[in-house]
Amino acid sequence: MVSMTGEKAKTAIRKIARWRFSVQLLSLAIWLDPLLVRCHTVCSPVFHCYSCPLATFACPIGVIANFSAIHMIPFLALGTLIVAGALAGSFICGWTCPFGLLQDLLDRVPTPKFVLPNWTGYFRFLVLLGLVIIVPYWWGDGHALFFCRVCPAGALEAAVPNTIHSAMSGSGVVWPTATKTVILLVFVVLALFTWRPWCSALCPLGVVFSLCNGASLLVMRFHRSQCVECVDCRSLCHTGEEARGRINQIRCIRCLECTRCRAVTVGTAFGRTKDVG
Amino acid sequence: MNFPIRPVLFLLLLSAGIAAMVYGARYHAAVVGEEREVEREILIPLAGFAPGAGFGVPGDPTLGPPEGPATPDGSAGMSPDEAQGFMKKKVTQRVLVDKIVAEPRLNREVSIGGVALSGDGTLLQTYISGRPPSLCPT
Repeated sequence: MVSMTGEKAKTAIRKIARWRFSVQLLSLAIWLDPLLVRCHTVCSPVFHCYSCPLATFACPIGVIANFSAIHMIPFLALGTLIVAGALAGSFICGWTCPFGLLQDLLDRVPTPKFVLPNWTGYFRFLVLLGLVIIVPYWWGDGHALFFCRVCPAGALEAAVPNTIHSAMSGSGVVWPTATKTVILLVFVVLALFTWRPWCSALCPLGVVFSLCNGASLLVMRFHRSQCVECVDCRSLCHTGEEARGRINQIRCIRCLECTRCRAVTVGTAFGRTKDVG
Repeated sequence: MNFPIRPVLFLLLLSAGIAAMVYGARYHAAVVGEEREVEREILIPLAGFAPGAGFGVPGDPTLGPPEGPATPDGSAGMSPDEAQGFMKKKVTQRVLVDKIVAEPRLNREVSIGGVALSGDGTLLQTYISGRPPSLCPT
């Protein structure tokens, strides 16, 4: 009976996993300000530039960086990230982030692929601490390494559309900074050859959620007794990680591809922990 | 019996997040110096006035550009101020006013580069009140 219930849950998870792309598109519709409310007093939990002509909410990383520049603690932005991280962890990255969606689409282009080594995920801590907190705090928002000045999402969603808009409207064209445009181009090209390079190696928002993965309400579970050591989970995972012992690893975006393996399921923080790794 | 560390961590994290959000939304604010343009009437001594030459001492930067009524031709009747040797003039001045800005509004302000830290550590609004920039400076 228990195994039947487990099989049913497994089937349900697989069905849900197939909806990921649709959920990403639906989320994009929410972030793109369909009602033109521009509610920038509130942060969204995703990586979406608030200077985008279509941005419903403020970008939490932009708010944290700017608050650091004015020597204030952004309680609202931090609280939003902690609540989102506590409830869903990296599901936010895999299922709702618009910049992640763009990289997923580029990943579908049939090109030779390579996998970034897992240690590249630790660069994200450097970006979060360095470019989002320390540089703005010490040198303000005018510094060349201030996060928003190098942000590829800002280049894609704000700088490029605003440049096109100003050119079309006949007003003076303000060219986007070359740095962030080049970084955007580099990551667009990289995304053709490796899966989600920005998320894997540099995203400061993803690292916040990945830190919450171990304690979030929704958690990935690996059942040791179900594992037959086929190591197929490594080929299922975009980051090339083995599920055993690494099920909530820092680069996981909870795309649920690994749930095709019988040993991997999704559970809650209140679920049973026996036989779980 | 194992200590249920995961549920406890989750509840702690969730509580901390909600507490931070409530504090930020309801109680956290900052004092921001806002530059406002106000129109004032000032009295100018008539002694320095010569018909057709404008008001004030020529080259006096403190008075700013003449924005009031055109130079009177002297045909109008004298007001009480004029009778005392002064002339009223409307000038636009920029004054710094401290205002308390709640964190949600600060979120919006920083998204357009509307607030900056001054050299003495105080926060200043970067634009004249009522004329916010449409885009962030980056």
